[in-house]
Amino acid sequence: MTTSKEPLLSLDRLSVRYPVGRRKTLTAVDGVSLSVREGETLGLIGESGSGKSTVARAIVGLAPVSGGTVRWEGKDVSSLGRRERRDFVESVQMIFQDPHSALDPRRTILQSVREPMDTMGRRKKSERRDVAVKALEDVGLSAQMLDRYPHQLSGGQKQRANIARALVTDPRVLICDESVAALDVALQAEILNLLQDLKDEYELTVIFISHDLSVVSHLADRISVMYLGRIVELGGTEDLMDHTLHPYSEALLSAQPLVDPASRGERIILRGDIPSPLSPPPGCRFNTRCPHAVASCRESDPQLLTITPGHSAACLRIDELHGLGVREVPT
Amino acid sequence: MTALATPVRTTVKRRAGRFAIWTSYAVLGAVVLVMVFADVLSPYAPTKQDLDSILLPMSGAHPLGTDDLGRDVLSRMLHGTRVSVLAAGLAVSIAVALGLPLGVAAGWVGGVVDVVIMRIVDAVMSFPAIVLAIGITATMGPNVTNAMVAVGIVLAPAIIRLARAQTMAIRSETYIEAARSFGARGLRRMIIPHVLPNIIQPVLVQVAVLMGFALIAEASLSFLQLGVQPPTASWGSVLSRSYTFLDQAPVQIFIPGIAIAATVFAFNIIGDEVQRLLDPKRK
Amino acid sequence: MKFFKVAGLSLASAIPTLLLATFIVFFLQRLIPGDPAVAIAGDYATPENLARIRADLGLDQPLFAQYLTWAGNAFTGDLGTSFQSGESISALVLDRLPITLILTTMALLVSILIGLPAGVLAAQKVDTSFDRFLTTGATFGIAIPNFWLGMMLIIVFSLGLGWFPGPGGVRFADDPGQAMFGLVLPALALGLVGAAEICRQVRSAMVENLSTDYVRTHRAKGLSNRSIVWKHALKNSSLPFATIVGLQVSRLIGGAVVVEAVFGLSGIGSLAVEATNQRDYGVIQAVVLIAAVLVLATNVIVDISYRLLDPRIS
Repeated sequence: MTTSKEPLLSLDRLSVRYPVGRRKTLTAVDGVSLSVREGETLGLIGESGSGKSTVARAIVGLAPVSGGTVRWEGKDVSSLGRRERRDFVESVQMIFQDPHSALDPRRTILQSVREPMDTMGRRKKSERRDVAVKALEDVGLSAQMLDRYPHQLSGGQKQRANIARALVTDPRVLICDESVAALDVALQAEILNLLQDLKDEYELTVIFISHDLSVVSHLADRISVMYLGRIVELGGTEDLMDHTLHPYSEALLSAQPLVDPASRGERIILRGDIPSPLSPPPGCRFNTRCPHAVASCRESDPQLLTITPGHSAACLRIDELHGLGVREVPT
Repeated sequence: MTALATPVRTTVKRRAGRFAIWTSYAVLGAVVLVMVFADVLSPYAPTKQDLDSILLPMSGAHPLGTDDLGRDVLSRMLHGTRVSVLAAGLAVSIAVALGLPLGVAAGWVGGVVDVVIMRIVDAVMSFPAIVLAIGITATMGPNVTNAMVAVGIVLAPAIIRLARAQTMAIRSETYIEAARSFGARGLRRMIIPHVLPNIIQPVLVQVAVLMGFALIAEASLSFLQLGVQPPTASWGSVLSRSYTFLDQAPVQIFIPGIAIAATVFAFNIIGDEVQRLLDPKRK
Repeated sequence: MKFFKVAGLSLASAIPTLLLATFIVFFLQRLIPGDPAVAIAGDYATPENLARIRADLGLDQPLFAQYLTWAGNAFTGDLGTSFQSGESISALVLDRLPITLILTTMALLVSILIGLPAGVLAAQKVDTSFDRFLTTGATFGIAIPNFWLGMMLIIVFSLGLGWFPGPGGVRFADDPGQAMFGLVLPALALGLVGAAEICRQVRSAMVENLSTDYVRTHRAKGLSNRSIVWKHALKNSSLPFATIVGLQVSRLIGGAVVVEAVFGLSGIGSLAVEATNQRDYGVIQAVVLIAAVLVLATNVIVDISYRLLDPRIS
């Protein structure tokens, strides 16, 4: 895959903060930098509360950007002109987690699927129906579904309709936010295969968000691991799976059900819950649960540093734990 | 079909009773028929006076007797149905026309808009409804239109509160977020296609209940001679007239009262029933 | 003292609403079609008369100044003078207010004494035919216009049986006992409809309470049904009950206006009706304002009892 071009979509020290009560603020995303290359599938994983969904919501404008920038083809999206803005909205579409509530219960499938075109005044009115029908065909829904209401569809059918809705504007980036989490396992596989097919057919760039490493590792070219609003590790899928650098990623990985139990070491059980983003711990944010934490982890805040080419991590003890020479080059 | 019909039937059995519900449908059906066919059904013109036959008791010629001006009470009741129900309908329409936009605005926009609207709602609700309606009608001039505008204003807070609560409840639904994510904003792309259809059901239930309230308000105001003005007949004005001759024609007081009570009862029962049918917890 | 702190808080939170309410009452005057002075004095008034009325109303002043003068006077108890009788409106209202207050209080008692036990009984036998009978009855009770019920009571109990005096009651000044007796039927007319409403709402609050886990725990511990229903569940329904009573007071004051007309009682309701016929706008304004003050006072009381009853609200 050629990756030398300008990234299609990039985040530069993106922060999302919400005011809570009178004085407190909740920092859901804390200075995340990330670039998405054209044609790749980027996996974003982490527990609930890690801020992975908020990153997605900030990209499509559903969460307030309190610091940093979202760039589309190198341009800050907050300063886009009207036409460019429309182009951006059409190009970046999101598929939501819960297929049951993502479709308006009072609108037919056809109405929902053609709505992005209606809203953005895309194509001639007479063509919109045909485009919607084509998108529904592409996701495997027959024309019979057009006039049905969401409650008349199964969960899998609803998620297909959601995907179809995201396709009618010819997007270049598809953000899938836990898009299969609400479905049972058999359906998950079906939808994942569908997404894979669509990616090829529509030449999509995909950001795939999930708490489920096995799902992400199956699809993604690169994986970014988030913890408490920060990226703690970022690398190519194989590289990251085989040479896990961050203790948190290790813990996530060890929690996976294994095909061959002998192939991995012991399970690492994380103690406690993810701390509240209202009062993140000082120092490394993972220090409260990290099996390798030492005193300095409670004091200094590790930066995300490139460890090996294309693979970076944010851990103070990376040298001691992995015996790797750290190249002091911030990503 | 049977799978659908079964739970409905058990709920009907368990609550107000199937009898009450069917009676209510029958009453409302009869009211509509009378409204449409009042002219055909009435033996006399509602304002036709016959001073030779005043305050007559029930008879073949005048099934409900005559009033103090010799007008046929049955004809006045039939025509009065049209006036009373249309007046109540006008009041409720005004309440919805005022309340729905304000309630949705308060719930959707939030912040200062919400605070201002809800403060005004609180202030309006600090008046006993009928008293404020009397105040407004008395000042604007007593006639049925003014009276029903006043009742509409007084009823609007109920709609505002409901619409606001419903709007706030759906504001964070995923389908609303999805629509926002592809740029749906404003009245034409967000409020009308997404918000209104999803909040309208409970508002319709409330409309049924408010119809009952408006009917009683019409009767009260007309009884106080602030509403329907002579010679027009409404349930309230027939009642008002016959009360003046209480000792001579007590029967004429029954009829309008029963008409009002039965219709209001029917609206309330149907409102309850619709609410139960719409309740998602019922499943 | 917790009570005074709580009472102060409740009073303070009612003030903005009261201010807005006075705005509304003041702007009622603006609803008078055409020139208010002409509306008050009639079409044949002399120019001097009109000028005097305009000066009296302050119509030559800017609107907000008019409001401030009016509201300032109202707070000191000066509601202006009646254009018809030339009397002080405050005196007129004070003369009529006691009857309305006594009537409303009696009606409230009737509605609570009947509605509360009926609601509790219905909740206890929820979904039985007894419950269905009571709920349907209560739904019908709500549908009855209270002034019509008053007429029915008159027909039966004073014209028919002769137990009670007919409409046109006795003044308190003349014979307090007889006057109170004359309020029984109007209080019933008002209170029975209120009882129906209270019954419905108490029932639904109790049904919800009786199905909670702690009631089930009490049952499992072997507490008697009577003590569960009357002590525990009822106590936990006290908050909704306070809300219901607060709402009911507003309804009863509104209903009193009409019922007074039926029974020929000279309360503030009939004062408003007389004022309407005489286009005595100042008196109408005063009655509307007094009614709002009464409702707001009730709300403050309900609010105080909330804060005292529920430890979670502070």
